[in-house]
Amino acid sequence: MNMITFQITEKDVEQYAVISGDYNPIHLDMEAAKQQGFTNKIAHGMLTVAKVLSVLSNESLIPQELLSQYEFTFISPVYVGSLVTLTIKQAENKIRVEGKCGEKIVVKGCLIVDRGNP
Amino acid sequence: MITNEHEIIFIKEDVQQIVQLIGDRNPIYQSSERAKDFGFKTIPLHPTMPMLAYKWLASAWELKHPIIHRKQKCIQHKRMYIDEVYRAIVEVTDQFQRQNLTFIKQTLYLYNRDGKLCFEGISDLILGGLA
Repeated sequence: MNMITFQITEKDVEQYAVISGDYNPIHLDMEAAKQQGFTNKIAHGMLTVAKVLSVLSNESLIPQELLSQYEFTFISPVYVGSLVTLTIKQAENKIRVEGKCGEKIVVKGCLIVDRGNP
Repeated sequence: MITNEHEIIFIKEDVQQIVQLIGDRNPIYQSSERAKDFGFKTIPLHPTMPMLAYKWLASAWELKHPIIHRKQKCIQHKRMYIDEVYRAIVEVTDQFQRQNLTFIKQTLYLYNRDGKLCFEGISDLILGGLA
């Protein structure tokens, strides 16, 4: 088991909105987020996924390995500026991850590593 | 509900924007030469990149706010690369209503030029409505 912490900053969210074209106001506008019952702007789900995959790529995989399948459940919002502590469990070609902000579980995922030829 | 097909080409700059943002240091995304060093024909797409196809898709329906992402499943059936033509289709299934909210499953399919399925991205969404 491995634990790694990463942060999703306001700049990350703004840049991801530009890259993805996803300008959903709950990610970018505090008032819009509050109107939907959130206490702050929230990170895009796919940005959180991309950050998790980046952690795995940097820490657990070799360059040729592909995360060929992944499934994530967004349990609670990841607020802009939050630190996400990721617990990683790897068994053969399957990786399970759980992300927490403080004591709260925010995301759970399961990923399959393809070790085949490029 | 299903969209028409759209052609999508991811380019090197698309890959580099995303890997710089998320901090992925895998050298295969840095240049064609580095990718070739590791046995790839050119720069492969980062596993989250196919979902960026939505940026270029004109959908026949509108997702009304609030839009909440509940779950995401992605399957990459084949390695995908920059500068290749992919055909994208989006389908909405499993739609149901609970109180004032609409629940849907929205799936992005990407096929290569030979018609082989390369990617499926299945998104479970909660919406203010679907029009």
